[in-house]
Amino acid sequence: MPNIVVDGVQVEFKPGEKIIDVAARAKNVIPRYCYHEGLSIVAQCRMCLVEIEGQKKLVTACSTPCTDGMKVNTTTDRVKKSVAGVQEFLLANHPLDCPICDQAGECSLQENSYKHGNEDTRFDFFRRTYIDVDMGPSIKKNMNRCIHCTRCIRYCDEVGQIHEMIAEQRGNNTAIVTIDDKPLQTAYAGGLADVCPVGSLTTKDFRFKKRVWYLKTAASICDGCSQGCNITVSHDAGLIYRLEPRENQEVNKWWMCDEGRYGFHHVHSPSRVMSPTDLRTSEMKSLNWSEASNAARELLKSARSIGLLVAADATLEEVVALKKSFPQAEFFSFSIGVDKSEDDKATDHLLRRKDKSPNLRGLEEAGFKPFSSFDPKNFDLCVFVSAGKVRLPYGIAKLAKKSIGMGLFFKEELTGLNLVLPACSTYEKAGTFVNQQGKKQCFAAAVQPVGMSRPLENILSALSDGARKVG
Amino acid sequence: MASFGKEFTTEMERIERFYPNKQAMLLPALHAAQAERGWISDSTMQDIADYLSIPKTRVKEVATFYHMFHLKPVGKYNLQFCNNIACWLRGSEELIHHAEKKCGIQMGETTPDGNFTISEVECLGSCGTAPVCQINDDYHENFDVQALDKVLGEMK
Repeated sequence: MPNIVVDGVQVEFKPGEKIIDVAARAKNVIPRYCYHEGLSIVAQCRMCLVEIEGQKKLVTACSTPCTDGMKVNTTTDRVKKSVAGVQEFLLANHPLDCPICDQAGECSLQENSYKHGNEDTRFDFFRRTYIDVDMGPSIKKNMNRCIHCTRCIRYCDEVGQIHEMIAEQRGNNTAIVTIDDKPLQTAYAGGLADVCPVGSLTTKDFRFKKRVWYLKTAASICDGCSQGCNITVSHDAGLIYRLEPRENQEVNKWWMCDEGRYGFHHVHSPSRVMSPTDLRTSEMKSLNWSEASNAARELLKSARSIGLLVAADATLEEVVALKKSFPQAEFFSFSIGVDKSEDDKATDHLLRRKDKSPNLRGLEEAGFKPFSSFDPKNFDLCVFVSAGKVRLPYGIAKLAKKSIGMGLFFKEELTGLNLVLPACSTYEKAGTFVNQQGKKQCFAAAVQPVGMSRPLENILSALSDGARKVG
Repeated sequence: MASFGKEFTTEMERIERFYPNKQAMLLPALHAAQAERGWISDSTMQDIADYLSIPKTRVKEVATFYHMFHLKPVGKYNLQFCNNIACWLRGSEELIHHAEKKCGIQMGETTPDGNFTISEVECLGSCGTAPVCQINDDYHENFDVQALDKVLGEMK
C-alpha cells in the first residue's frame, strides 16, 4: 500500500483518498468547515490548508489526493498563520453570542478558535445583522452566525435531493435562504443542524432545551422504520433531549430522517401509563408490581388458549423471553405500513421505508405469524405487547375475551384491556433489531425506565416464577 | 407565465449547440432576458427557469450574485461608475457627486422620470483609462465633469 507522511507519521492510503481523510486516520484532525465526508468537495473555506514538501503554495487537504511518498505538514508557521488568518476573517462578522448560542460546546468555529485562532479581534466595524428566520417545521436560521461554508446548500442538493437552499447575493452580503422564504420541503431537514458547523441552523425541537456539555450519549437504533438507522441518543437525568444519526456506511451513512429524529417524545409523554394498572373493574386502579403479577397470573391461569400480538418493535431478546414464558401460545406480529416484511419497500430515495417498525424481520424469523391471520376471538386470553413506538390497532383489545397489555401504552389506548403492565420503550432498554437488510444490530439503553416501567424480561420472569419479585 | 419574445428564443436556439446542457446557458439567458425586459424580476427568473427546465433557485443564486443583473427596474440610462482604487484616485468620487447633484438623486436611485440611474460598480477592468463610467453597454473612458455634462445633455 502507498504511504504519505503527515507530520512525521506514516499513514497508508487507498488511491484517490484525500489528505484530510488519511490524516484523520492518524488522529490528526485537520480543521475544516466546508468539507464533510458525506457531501461533495468545494474547497472554499480554506481552513484545511496544509504544506506539502516540495510545493510552493499551501494546498487544501480536503481536495488534494494523496500520492505515494507525499510529505504533509500541518503545523508549520506558514500553515498556522494562514489558518489563523482564515479564522480571523470568519470571526469578523460572527457575533460573540456563544453564551446564548445552542451550538456552543459542539461548534467547529469555537473549537478552531481555541486551537488555531487569535485571542483578540482587530475588527472594529459594524457587523452585519439579520433577524432569525423560520425554515419550516424543523429548522430555525440565524444568519448572523453563518460562515458561508455552503454545507447546507450541498446537503439539500445531494441528501435531500431538492435544490431549495441557495446563497443569495455575494461577498459580505451573502445570505443563505430558501427561495421566496418557502419552508424547507425535504424530509431530512433536521440533518441541516448536524452539518452546520456553527449555530446558524438549529433544530427547533432542541433549541434552548439543554446545554450540550450536560448531555450524555448512548449508541442506539432508530425504531421509526425497518431501515434501522444508527443513532446517538443524547440524554440527561433520565430525559431524552435529541436523537442524532451515527455513521454507519452500510445502513444510514451519516443521515437520518426527521420522522426518526423527532420520534422520541412518546417516551416522556404525560399520558403514558407508568404504573401497573388494573382495569377489570369500572375504575382504573394502580397496582404495585407484586399485586400486578398476581393479577396477571390469575388471568393466565384461567386461560386455555393464549394468543400474543406483538408489535414489531420488540427486541430479539424480548422475543426469546416471550417464547419461553408462553410455550403453548400462538404468536402474531404487528407492524404499521405492511403486514409482512416482503411487502416492505423504500418510500424515498434515501432511507425511509414503508414498514414503520424496526424488527418485523426479526419477529418473522422467530416464527411469528402476520397480523392479518390474527383473530382475538380465537383465544381465551390475548396478550398485547407494545414495546416501542408502533401503536397497536386502536380498540383491538375490545374484541378479545380477556386481555393483558404489556409494554408502552397511553391512557387513551386502554379500552378493552383488563390489565396493563408497563414495560420499556426502545430507548430505555438494550437489545437487538433485525433491519430490512437482515442485519442484526445491537443497541444500548439510553435512559432508565420511566416511572414504574420494567424491562419486559423481568416482568415475564416474575410471572413464571411467583417467588421472585419483579424489578 | 409570460413567454419571451422572438429575439430571446432565436438567441437561445442559436447558442444552444455551444453548451453542454441547458443549465450552462443560464448566463446568456439572463443577459438576453435583461435585454428584452430591462431588468430581472422575480417572475422573469421563473420564466427563465421554466425555459431552461431548471429550478428557480438556480436562477436566483446566479442572478443575485452578479451585479450586472438588475433586480430592480433601472432608468433608460444606467450610469455605472467604477469606484475602485484606480478610478477613485483619478477622481471618480467627484464625478459621482456631480452626477448625483445633476440628476437630483442619490447613489443607487433612479430619477422619477425614469431616465437615469446612478450605480456604483466594481472594477470595470479599464484602470489604464481611469476614471471610467459605463453607461448602459458603453464605456466612457478618461471621464471628467465636462464630458459627463456633455453626455448627460445629449441624453436628455
